[in-house]
Amino acid sequence: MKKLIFLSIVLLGVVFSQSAFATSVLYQPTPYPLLDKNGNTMSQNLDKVHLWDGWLPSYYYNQEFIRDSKLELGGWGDLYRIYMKFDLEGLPNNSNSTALYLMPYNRGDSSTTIPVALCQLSSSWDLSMTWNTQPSYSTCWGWYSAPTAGTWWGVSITSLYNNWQSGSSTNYGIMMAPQNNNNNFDDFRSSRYSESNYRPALLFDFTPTITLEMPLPGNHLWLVTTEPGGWDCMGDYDQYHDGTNYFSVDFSWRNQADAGAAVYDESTDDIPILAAGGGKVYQATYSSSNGYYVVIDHDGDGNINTGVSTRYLHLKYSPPVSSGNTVQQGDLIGYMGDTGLSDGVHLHFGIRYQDSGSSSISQLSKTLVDGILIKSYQTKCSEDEDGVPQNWVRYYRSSNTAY
Amino acid sequence: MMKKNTIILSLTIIILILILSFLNFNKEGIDDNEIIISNEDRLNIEKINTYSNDQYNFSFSYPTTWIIKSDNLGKGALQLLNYDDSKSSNSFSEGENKIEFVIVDQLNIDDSSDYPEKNKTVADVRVTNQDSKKINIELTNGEKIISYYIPIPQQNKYLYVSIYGDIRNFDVLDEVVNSIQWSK
Repeated sequence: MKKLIFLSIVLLGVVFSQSAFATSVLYQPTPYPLLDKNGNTMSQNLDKVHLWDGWLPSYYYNQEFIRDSKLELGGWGDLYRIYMKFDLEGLPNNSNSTALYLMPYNRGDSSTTIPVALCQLSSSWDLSMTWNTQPSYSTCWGWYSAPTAGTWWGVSITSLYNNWQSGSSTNYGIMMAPQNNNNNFDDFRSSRYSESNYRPALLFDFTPTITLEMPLPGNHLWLVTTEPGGWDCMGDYDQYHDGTNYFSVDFSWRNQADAGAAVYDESTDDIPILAAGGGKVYQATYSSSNGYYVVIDHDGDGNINTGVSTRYLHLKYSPPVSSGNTVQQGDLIGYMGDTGLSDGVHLHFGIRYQDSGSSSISQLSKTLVDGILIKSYQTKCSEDEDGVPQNWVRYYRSSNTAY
Repeated sequence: MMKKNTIILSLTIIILILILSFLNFNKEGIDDNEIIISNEDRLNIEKINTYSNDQYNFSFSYPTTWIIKSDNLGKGALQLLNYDDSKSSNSFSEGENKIEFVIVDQLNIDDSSDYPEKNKTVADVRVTNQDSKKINIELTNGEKIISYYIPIPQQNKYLYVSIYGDIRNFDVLDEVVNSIQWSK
């Protein structure tokens, strides 16, 4: 009897600890321009744009796949279906739960909303798809309740998602179909909708490997210019943010300050670089390609072949820390610069597990930086009247130490 | 009649001498001007600036088309650029180069895992009568970095000089390094 009570207490403890540390995190891809910075057609490969989402009409609009600011489902005699496919590279493996969320809005006409079926696609498709070239689907689930305008509509896709991630089924994406088409419509915001908070999202629930903070001063927002995987919205590709360095981000010196704080100017100010987490300094030195740089070993055992490590490249000065020093999250470890293979003041921030930053590393896919996935650090560009990207415009808030 | 002809001939000779003298004077003047213009042209082509550092007791020359972007040598880097770096970019465009000087305590030619290398050669060279190293790195995307490790006399430190960007301008690094002079 005592053993049974003890076992029960242990099991309760395990369950409690799992739930205590699990966290829910949203992933909402930003839209990519259709043109690159030179005005040429931007490839819309999934590893670059991160999400294919659109709607397919059975009769109107030349029966072509449409990627505008909405996702339309239903019909009035004719039929409208929604297709979606997420880029899964670098997203959490084996999450406890995964759900797809869409934001519905009011059409403002006489139509009524309609329950939805969600189907797993079983053959490939691309953005040139038409009604007559739709992919096949295997399993469908439903009917899920009709959406309510202004309230997130969500559906669990945990087993589907985990099967895609494990490779037990191929990620061809999903199709959503209406229960009826008698003046029944469900309209959702797409990834091209102007307000980023209303775009399609995946909600993950998992226990993070480690929670880091942005390596830049708090009470500021910082511009991202190169995403994990190496792409940016100008159409440029930096291969040094791919492969074994997939989990790395370029932060520009450009920043926005909260009220009461001053904006840093790279030409006149030294911009502090802060430890993203506590640990032991593994390297603080100079090389011709990295410039001045620091590597922090976050499990503190002095061996970056175990646990998580972070890398801070192109620092302005010889680092004020040395190999073997213990640092706390938020400690000053250098200043932003452009030493080494760098043209322009920025921070190349890399995150590794067992000294690899490959996208296949589960521990990194579940690492949070300032509460969001590393994969969520994405670029977005302003565009001119012709749709040519002009400037990076997506800033991320740091909650690290304020300077 | 004979006397008149002699006078005319004499005057003609005198006039010819004067004309030839005048032409010769002007010719020398033109030559002088040409030499002066030529010298100015050559100076414009080869015009150089000189950088001196009192802390590490050295100087070098560099083309006037390059500018010193920052001089934090000792604490950080001395950087020379041949372009305007006010644009928004993290990579070098065509024709753009950077030469970077830093002071380091020891030779470190470990491979960078952040910028994977395809090839690397390390050669022994003599720079300013110092036994130095020349490192030629080719990265996996074809980008190249050429560096020199040059011992600083009597300081037990190295001057580490690297060039980045458009390889068509990489010969400027050799010119700069060959112009280094130690003041002590």
